[in-house]
Amino acid sequence: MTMGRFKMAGLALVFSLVGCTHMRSVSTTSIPAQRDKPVEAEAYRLIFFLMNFNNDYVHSLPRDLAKQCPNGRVEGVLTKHEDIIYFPLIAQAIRVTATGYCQTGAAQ
Amino acid sequence: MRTPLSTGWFGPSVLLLAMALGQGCAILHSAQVGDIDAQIVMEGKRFEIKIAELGVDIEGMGDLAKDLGKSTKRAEETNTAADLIQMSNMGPSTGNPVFRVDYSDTLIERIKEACPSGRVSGLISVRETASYGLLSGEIVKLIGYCAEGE
Repeated sequence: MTMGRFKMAGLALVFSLVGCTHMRSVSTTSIPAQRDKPVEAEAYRLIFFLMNFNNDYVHSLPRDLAKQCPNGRVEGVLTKHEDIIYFPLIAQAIRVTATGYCQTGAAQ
Repeated sequence: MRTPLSTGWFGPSVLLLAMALGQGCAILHSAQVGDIDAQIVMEGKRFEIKIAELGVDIEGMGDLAKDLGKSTKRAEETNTAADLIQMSNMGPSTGNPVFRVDYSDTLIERIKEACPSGRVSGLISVRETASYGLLSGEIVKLIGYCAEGE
């Protein structure tokens, strides 16, 4: 393998290994005592060439959680916002995950 | 004989232009979901509150001032001014600096207006930046559900 190809292979390897996850923010509400019915919802957007024109995809999170807990309350909601870099400048993603505990009936 | 017009530049130029225009157009800084009452979220009225303030990319402005300083042969003064502005805006932050720090303080009042009954649930608060180069909109957005009536 020539030096030039070796360098290119090294560069490709470095770029492929930099795919990493960054925690942007995390928050939680009060955690209930009863935690036997966990619920989870996720909002995810894949972004190419750093082009992202809105963040409306996160708006559905409360409804997605509510659907999993009909006639109840979702408490102890942990919201986690991460950036995932698959390939620098070309492909990255934003993931917002909300998890909580469904409280129904007497458990409330 | 006429040579055909070269179009090789078109693809990369359009891509670069799209990247420049679209670069971080909407930057999400944080999203936070509150406790959820499923009945209110599924049957209540959805409301959205958006508060924005003009943000300025101080660092970008400083670089621009330095470049202008070079061209007007007043590099030293503009460098000092740019450095002073940048140093006075240090510290952790989301988005660009704004001129009013209390612009989001009216959120509570706005929620009361949007939901007079006060029975609000499924609140999601979003902090984002709408970027337009050196200027930006520093946005705080709140989406929730309101149970109407008593």
